[in-house]
Amino acid sequence: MEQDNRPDLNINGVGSAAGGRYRQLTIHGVGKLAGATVSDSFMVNGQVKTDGDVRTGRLHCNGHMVVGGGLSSGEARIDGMVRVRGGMNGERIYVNGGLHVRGDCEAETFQSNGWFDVEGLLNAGEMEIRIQGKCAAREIGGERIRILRGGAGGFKRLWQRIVPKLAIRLTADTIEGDDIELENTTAAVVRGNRVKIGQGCAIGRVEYRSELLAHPQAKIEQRVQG
Amino acid sequence: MSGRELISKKELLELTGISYGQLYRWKRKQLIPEDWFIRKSTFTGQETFFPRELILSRIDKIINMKEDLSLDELADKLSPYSYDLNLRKDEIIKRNIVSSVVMERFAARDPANTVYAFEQILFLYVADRLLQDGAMNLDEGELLLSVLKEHFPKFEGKACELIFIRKMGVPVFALVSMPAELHFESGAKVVARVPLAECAERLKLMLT
Repeated sequence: MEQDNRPDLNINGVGSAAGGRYRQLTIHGVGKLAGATVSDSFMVNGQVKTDGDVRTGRLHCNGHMVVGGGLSSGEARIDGMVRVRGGMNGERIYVNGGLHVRGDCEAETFQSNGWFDVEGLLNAGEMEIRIQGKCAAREIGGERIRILRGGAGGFKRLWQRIVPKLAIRLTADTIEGDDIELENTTAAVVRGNRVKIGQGCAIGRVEYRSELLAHPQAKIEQRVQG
Repeated sequence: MSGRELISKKELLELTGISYGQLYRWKRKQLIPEDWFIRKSTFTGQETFFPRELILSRIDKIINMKEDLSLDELADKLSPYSYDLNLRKDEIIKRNIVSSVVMERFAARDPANTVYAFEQILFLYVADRLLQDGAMNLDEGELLLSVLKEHFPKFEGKACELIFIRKMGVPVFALVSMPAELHFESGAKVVARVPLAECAERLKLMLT
């Protein structure tokens, strides 16, 4: 068997490193990675910026991360903020904070409890989104899509009126899936098999196959079955 | 071969009976290539279209094969070029994948037990087909093979199309990435357009 002689990479404090193949990549503090990295695990506590692609088995970001290329990981847990210049894909993506993806974002499971902005297609088999801020995607597609608004206390609600970024709303051009449940969502077109439109929604056109449940306060301009 | 008719996503789902979820799942698993998703604006907003023949045959294939294979295995099988298929020269002739005339002309120097990579077989196969259609003569075949050899790897597995134009009897070969719209001056005659991904798929079925 070939010997595994990949090194670990640790940055404590401020430092920078080249890209390459690593076993474990850990950054406590401020780090900069030049070039693409491939690793088993990628852990950020603090801040990191990379020039190239990041491929890893497990990503955990507590803090701020900027990826210059694409991001691909088995499991990604974002407790903080991640910005990806390219596309992102993974088995499971959990967002507790913020995520910005310039390209498409694909995962088998996508759970978000925060805000995100996907400029391309957000494609996940199982999607559960609790909107805690301004969420946006050009297109959303998947098997099961649940978009619910997150909880908001009195003060938070006050702030939301003042700062638009905090407004609890998800916007998308199209949402397509088998099982769709929406709240506080603005979309031009929603297409699905079973569709449930909850309160706070403004939908241009709903196309459904078997079932449509709409909240009386939801705004739907056009309903089409077929 | 030129008819790149499009089909809308909705029509496709109705025709094949699959759901949105399945379509997105297959896209995630890369069973359906990214560049088949063509976004166009219509009066209802942005809509996605697909090249009709390609997507219908692909979905048919996926539905038929997914009983026996996992989706990941399927993805390997469906990727158009990177297929691990090699064949010996005498076998290519014996199974009549490429006619012996072509093999004699373009591969006469290789001994009978030379093993060809899938890409090389594909080039010979394309040349063979154009020759048998009567679109091309043997000298032009040589030109075609050198064009393919030089430029085809640059597409790195992305779908591309071979275009064969003739003007005043002078042959010109070009490779373009798909989907592309091309218009020619009136004196030029488009002799053939060959989508190489489709050719590769057909060839793959012949080999397996």
